[in-house]
Amino acid sequence: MRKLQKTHRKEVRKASRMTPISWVVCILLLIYACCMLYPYLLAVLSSFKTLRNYTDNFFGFTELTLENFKKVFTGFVYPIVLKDGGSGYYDFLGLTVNSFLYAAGGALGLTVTPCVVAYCCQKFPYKFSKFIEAMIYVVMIVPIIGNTASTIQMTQNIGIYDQMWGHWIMKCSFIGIYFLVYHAAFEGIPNDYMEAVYMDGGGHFTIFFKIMLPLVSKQMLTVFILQFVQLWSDYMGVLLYLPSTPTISIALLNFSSLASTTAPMQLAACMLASIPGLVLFAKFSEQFMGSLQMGGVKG
Amino acid sequence: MERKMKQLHKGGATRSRERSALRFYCVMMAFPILQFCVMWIGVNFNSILLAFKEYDASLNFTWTMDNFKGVFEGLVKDATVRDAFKNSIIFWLVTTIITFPTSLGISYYIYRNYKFSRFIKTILFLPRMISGPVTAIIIYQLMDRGYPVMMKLLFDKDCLGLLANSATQMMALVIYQLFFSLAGNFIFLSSAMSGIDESISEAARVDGANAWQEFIHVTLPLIWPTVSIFLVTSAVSIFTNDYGMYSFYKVAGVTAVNTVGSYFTIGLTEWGTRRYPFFAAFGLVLTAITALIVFPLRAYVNSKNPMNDTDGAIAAKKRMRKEARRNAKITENA
Repeated sequence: MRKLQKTHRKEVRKASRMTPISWVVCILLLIYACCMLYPYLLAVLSSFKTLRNYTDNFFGFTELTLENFKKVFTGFVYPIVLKDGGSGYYDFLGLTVNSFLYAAGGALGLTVTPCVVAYCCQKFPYKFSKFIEAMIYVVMIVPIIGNTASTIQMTQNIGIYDQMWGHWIMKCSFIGIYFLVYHAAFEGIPNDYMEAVYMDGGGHFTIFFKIMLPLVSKQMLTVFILQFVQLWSDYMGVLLYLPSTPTISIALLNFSSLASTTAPMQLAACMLASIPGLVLFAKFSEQFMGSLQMGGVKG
Repeated sequence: MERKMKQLHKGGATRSRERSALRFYCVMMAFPILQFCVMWIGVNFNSILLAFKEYDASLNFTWTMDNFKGVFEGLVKDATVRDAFKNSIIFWLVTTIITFPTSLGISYYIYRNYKFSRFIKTILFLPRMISGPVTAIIIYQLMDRGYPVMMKLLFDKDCLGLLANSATQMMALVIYQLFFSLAGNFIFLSSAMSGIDESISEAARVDGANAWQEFIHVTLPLIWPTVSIFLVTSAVSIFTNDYGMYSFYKVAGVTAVNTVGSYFTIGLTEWGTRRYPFFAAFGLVLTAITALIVFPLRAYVNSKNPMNDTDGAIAAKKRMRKEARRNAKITENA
């Protein structure tokens, strides 16, 4: 028996070994990874350069300075038109706060809503649940394009246009790929858990909040992080629905048109804007793998 | 009598449990459904109506079909609209035909845990974690400032930046798409692969399957639902995705290469409320075109499902589910 196991292990190891083809793929991938990394490293280096050094010596460096980062914090001003027609401005810190509120609130809505709806559809097989599921698949396959103008009108009519809380409400949508992720996750949780809690006198809220949510917390965290990062870099939503609450992304897009800004300063602002994403990545990179599986598109 | 009482009690408990379930269901679903009714059904219904409206200077409207006429005229005569349409298709094809299979291959390489897969995985995640405008600014600096410097250093030749030169703009942006769109699919594909039962892959390896055979006959069939979702949803977003072109428009002043997504954003933010009906009509036309692409694609992807070939595996799965449901019903009745 032991001999058999040993042979089996040997076979598996042999099959996973690097072949000449996999070495070629490995080298190509390493070249690709380095090419991908290079622009970011160059940008990091450039953000520490003086304007003169940046212009004269694009690829190399002679002197490095923290001046660009200081200027971003102290001298950077982003002008805005206020809701009452007056003018105002945001500094870098103000833009960061806006970005945080925009990304965190929106990501929370986009994480919790599909989770709740997927749970209800998966564990309560009412006819309405089947209808909602079918509708989600249809909406995912045929979205109505060009409804942005209508969305602006609708948000203006119901009074949530240009409001941060309005943006949060808009993001409480369950349509999308993450519904499938949660649906697959809840499908994998046996109903016995529900039965056990029910026998112990717990209600449906106890089952959902104390049993089911902890069981899908890995998926929720991954979805939240991905949505947070996506919303942190989103500019379309801010431009269209939150014009008087600019975020860092909007400021970065308009950076070169602002007074008293330079390219190294723009890159320094880029580096600062990338910190949240990189921190989340460093902390939760292992989390992403294996936590986002989904079912197929039903016919 | 006692038995009957017990049954009655049991029936009452079931009813109370059902009522409690319904209460929970209604409470939890109320807000998402309300949001959906307003922000999806309401918005899209209004969008359809908007497509048939025309606003005057004081924003009073009249009903008209002129917006659709304007859209078709634009698609034929207006170079900006035509280019936006063409470029969206090009970027979609690039990301579907080249990027997606490459992404699939890289995900498999990482799944097999070959050499340096951890490093490659980390680098591939980067564009996903760094914001689009930041990447656009960095690429702009490299292409428009770095490229001329590099050409001067290497060949002593003066030239324009890749994005500043209208002859090289499109090529530069296609390369950018190729390079930076890998990460989006990669997370889901890797996750799907890591969910495969290790014993299945091991069995294939022990039976002498090489990496390619394992990928084609084991991995791909098992992750086909994820693959099909990606192919279909990428086609769905052809005209809603701006492929980063709005960033390049703002950062690098690229006006010659636009996509439908960036054309919509520029139009809606810069051209004023009176143009809203035109964009609503354009959106409806694009929805019809998208449907013409998506439905055949979906049928094709479903017909190519490798699981269909493995001795009726799908039918077997359906049979098993049906049986399980029947057993559950019997248990419930008992």
